[in-house]
Amino acid sequence: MTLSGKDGILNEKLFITLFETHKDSIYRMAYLYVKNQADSLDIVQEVAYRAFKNRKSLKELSYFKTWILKITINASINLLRKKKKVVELHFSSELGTHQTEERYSDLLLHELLNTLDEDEKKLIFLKYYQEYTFQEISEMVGSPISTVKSKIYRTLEKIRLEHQKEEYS
Amino acid sequence: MNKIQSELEKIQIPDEVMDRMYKGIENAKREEKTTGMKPNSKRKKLIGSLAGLVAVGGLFFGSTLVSPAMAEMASKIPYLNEVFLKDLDKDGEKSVFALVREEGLRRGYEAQGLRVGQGLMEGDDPDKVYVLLKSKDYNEKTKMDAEKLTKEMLEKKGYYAKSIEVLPFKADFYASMRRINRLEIDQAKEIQSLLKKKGYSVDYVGQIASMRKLLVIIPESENRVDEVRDIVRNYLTKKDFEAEYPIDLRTMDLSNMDQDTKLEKDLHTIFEGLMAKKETYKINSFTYSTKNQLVITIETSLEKKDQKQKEQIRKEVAAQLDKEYKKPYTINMVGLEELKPIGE
Repeated sequence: MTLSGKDGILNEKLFITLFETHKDSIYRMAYLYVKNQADSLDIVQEVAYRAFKNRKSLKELSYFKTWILKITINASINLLRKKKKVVELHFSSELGTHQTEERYSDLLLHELLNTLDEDEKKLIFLKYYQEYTFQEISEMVGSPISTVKSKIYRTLEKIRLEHQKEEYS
Repeated sequence: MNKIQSELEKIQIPDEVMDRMYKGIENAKREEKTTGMKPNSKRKKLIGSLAGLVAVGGLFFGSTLVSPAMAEMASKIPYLNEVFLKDLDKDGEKSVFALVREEGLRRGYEAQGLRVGQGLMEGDDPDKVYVLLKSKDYNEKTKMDAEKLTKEMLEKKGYYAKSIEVLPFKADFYASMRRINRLEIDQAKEIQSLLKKKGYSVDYVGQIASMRKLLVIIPESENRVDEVRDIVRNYLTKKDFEAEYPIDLRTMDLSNMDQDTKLEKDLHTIFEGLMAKKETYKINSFTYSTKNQLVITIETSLEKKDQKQKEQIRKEVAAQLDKEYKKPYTINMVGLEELKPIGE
């Protein structure tokens, strides 16, 4: 499907519709990284901002989801970095840890949120939540399929081990 | 539905999500309004252009190490051109930093540095302008005032900053910028030699720091573009760059350059040569202007007693320049004693 106009293929209305369609994915992906609602919402806003600003760069509507998820990943990583730096630099005394982490009792979700690193979270999200193929993920993240595969399998193993550990401890 | 899906479905979607999306869109639109005015009026430029401005301002923060050098390539690339080169010729004018510093001193505080974020280190926001105040002058009041002042001065010059952050001067902040620059140049060189070793032709590899991407230029005759991209991507992955770190890979014919571009490319080569001897030469920045005549200004951390080394640098630059450049030029050397204080 190709539409065209002065906004490229995405006019505002279409942008909103597509964003709404994928808002759950965007929010959950962000949440997976930052683990709290306030930051996840900040990321949603940032993603909308960046995506809308660069809407002309989207060449085909069918890429919208991949495109917006990539933006989400970048925005999440950026926010995490910023937070790390702020703590490290000079505000360490002023910055209390106000952010309350939502409590999800389920162990598996807890592990997904807390034991995986950023890269692992991304791959697991893309593979099992979004159900992208290895090929698609490989293209998205710019690593060879073999690397993607082995990382995902390793991560699964890690989750499995953690899960057992939690259950039996 | 698989297990992971059902787990993640437990993350509830707050009602505000769509509100926040609208806010994001609004912000983007507002920005479009301020940046997207008539092409020939004195329109506000995006903040990336500050990279060039800082270089001309003679401020010796780490960022200046890279930006002028990057500018040479930029001339061949449509959008970068706009971003970098316009500000390199403005030597008659005072830089934003100079203006902020002057007015700040009048108001009782001293600004010691201004730079554009590069997004290269954690927390360093590429959309942000950082202003560093002398630690003893830094408090809530001066922070706010300096923020306002910087915004005014930027606007006066036609720049638009998404955000401004005022911080107390920190030596380690400065030092880490320097380290990053060093690292960047080393990595770019490593990629270039890696490609050459594997038999690919490559003309240029460099970080466009202010845009947070890696620029790779290969000659038009090299058609194994995808292979080159794979090698670069692999290298970045190995170096723990994020998986999406942008690689801007372009093919262009550099042998057909116009005079100005050629000069800029040569200057870059000279600059790289100096950087290779950074330990002895202690180069802080390398800036140039081509307004009436070529003027090169080199700032070093060399002290007065190192006059000999300074002469050496000058000679080396002149020798290289004389090979190709037939017009008159001036080389200014600026050493530590001429620089405004930076540390305490």
